[in-house]
Amino acid sequence: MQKFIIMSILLTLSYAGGNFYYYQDKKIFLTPIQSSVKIQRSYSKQTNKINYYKTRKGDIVGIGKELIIKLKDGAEPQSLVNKYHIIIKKRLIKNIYLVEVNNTKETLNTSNKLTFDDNVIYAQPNFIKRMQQR
Amino acid sequence: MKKLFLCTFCFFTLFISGCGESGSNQSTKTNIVNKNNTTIPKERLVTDPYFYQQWYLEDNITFYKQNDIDKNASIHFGKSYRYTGKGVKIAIIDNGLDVTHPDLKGRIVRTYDISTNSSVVSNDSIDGYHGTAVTGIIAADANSIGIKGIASGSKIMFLKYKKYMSDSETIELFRKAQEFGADIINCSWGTYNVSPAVKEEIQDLAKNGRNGKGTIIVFAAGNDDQYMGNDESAIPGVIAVGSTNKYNLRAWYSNYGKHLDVVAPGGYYIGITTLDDMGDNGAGSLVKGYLLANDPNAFMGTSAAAPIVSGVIALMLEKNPNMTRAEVEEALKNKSDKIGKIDYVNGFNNYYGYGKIDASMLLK
Repeated sequence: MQKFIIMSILLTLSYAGGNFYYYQDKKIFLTPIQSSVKIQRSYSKQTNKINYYKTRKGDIVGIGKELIIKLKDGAEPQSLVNKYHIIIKKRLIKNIYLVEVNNTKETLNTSNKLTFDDNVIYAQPNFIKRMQQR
Repeated sequence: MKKLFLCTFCFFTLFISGCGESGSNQSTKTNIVNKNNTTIPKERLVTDPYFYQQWYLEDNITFYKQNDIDKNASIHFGKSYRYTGKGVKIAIIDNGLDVTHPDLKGRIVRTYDISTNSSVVSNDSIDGYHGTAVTGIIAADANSIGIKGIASGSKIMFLKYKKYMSDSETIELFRKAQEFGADIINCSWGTYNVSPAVKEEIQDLAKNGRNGKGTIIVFAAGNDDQYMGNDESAIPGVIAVGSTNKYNLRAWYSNYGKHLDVVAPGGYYIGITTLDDMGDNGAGSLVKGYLLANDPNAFMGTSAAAPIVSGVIALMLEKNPNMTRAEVEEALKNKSDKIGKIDYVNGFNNYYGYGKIDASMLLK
């Protein structure tokens, strides 16, 4: 019973921390982890700080200051700049843009706010993932 | 001790099966005359010394017997020697390439490393041989050295990925492949965690690439004996490739699911003979620069099966350059061998997809 209570508290705390993003209207929770030296080395060219998380499936993902957003037809990315304090880095595909926030701590928060903007179809961190050779 | 035994066994196998041109000639001699009794041009004869070990292409009776390989385990390359993928551009996205390999001399036309934004794609890690092994299956030159790649006349473009990549970088790599003019993109990797933006980029290429005919994007389905899930290989429009073993059955590790398209030899019990890194990062222990079928570190997996499919598609595009991606996919669905012990419903099941590819049927 004691074990169950501790587990419940831990789970609640991790969710309360806002470590989630939206994927197809569902909240996907992430658990912060210490970055591994291996990943850091591989991503050494990235000067910005990267935070690392574990997904529920056990995959490790990195999150820096970048986000990927898809805008609705006719929406202008510039209209989001001041509202969310983002910089438009480049257009990736059609109406999909790579944007940047000021601080890594803001990435998930801004991503989740953008998800509910009327001009946005989806917003996600620009996840860093391990390429698994097969 | 086990390693020593395996090595001894391998050398014995190589010795008794000829270990030279006589072994390769044995199999090619049966394939130099096509259906209309016209001889295949001289330059298309295979004289590569380890060709007899390329059991995934066609059956070499001696090698098959020695290694207890099912007589139908190959992709029935047969008359496909008429084609070499001439005029077809194949992009390979992988972890590094030994461009100095003698079996790749003159075969690589473009290279790009996303890490350095340069054309240097050499290996820098212990598992860096992977890209060379994948490339060898498709591209090794028919030059009397080593092995023969399935599409040994195609133009190869190699794009080196980083071990850890952001979604925007993945998109950038596919963009680069498009910029290089790739007809086919081979991806022997995956993340099990595709973002919508990456998915859209891949689908856009599959639909609108090649001037509207659609770029053919081939992904390895994965080696974890699990449902493909939210993987790159499961994206509609991508050709997902599973793996078979020497008994002409699904290899136990091969991922499965409703998005699996076809299977091809990927090896188990015996590997897929291919190229290895020539330098210190090479994985082979029998012959420098090659991963032979019986090497203790032989190349196996859906990583090996995918380039077999990419190579055969290159031959199809040489035969008919106007083929659309949808037509290629349709041909794979209709002309693959319905192997295995699982029933096919409407020509499909989750473990073999539409069956094992059959080069002879596809190039008839």
